[in-house]
Amino acid sequence: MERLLVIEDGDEYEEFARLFLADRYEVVPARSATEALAAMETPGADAMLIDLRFERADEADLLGDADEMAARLFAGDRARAARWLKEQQGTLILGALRDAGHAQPAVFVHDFPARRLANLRALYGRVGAVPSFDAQAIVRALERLA
Amino acid sequence: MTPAEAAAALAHDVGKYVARIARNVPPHGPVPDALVPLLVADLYALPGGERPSARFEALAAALAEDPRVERARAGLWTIDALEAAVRAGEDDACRRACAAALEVEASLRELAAERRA
Repeated sequence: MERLLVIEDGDEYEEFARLFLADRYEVVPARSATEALAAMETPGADAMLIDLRFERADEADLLGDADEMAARLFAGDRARAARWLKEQQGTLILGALRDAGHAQPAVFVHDFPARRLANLRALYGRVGAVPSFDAQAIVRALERLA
Repeated sequence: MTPAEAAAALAHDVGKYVARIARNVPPHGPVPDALVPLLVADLYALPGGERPSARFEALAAALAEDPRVERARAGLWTIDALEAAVRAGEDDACRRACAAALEVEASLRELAAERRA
């Protein structure tokens, strides 16, 4: 059975995957970039299901430096930079996984605009998105990217 | 928070999670007993514990009147009104709550897509 790395800041994606995707995938959970990178080494995974927004994560567990982001992108507004890091954390983690050589298909449960999704694909290769927690649509998206 | 940010948060924080189990309930036959507590969790407590209808009202305050906001509000009222029966696992109530949850999600997703355009 293929393994699906589920990356999120809570447990809703993992619970969903164990309920509705367990006939297709063994679920491997990760709650941060550090855990995701470790899990891709052992036990490894064939595909990824990623939450975009990490609203509940501690800032210390996030990828990215809020001070640097504030200076570079948000005219020194650190609170806005920290919020941006949380809101985009899933794509930042995917970038770290790609940088580490993990090119497996990745699907977000998010309603990305078409242009944004095209940009993600240009940056990160095999990336898909489904707008809702639709088990059949997620399986189809992962199969298309395999 | 700008209106576009509020709409995006509504679609993500409320719409996506309120419909998480509802969207995957088998279309025919009784709602499986094992799914009822998970359905209850989605419909009456968002990740973090806040009630979806309360989160909705907090975020919707940043938005102007809009029919999609009203549709979502009506769906959440329906879900709240069905709470006792859904918690009791009554099949008809669970089905109606699932339908309302999907309506909430669709309305909020449409709103968010328009506001970011």
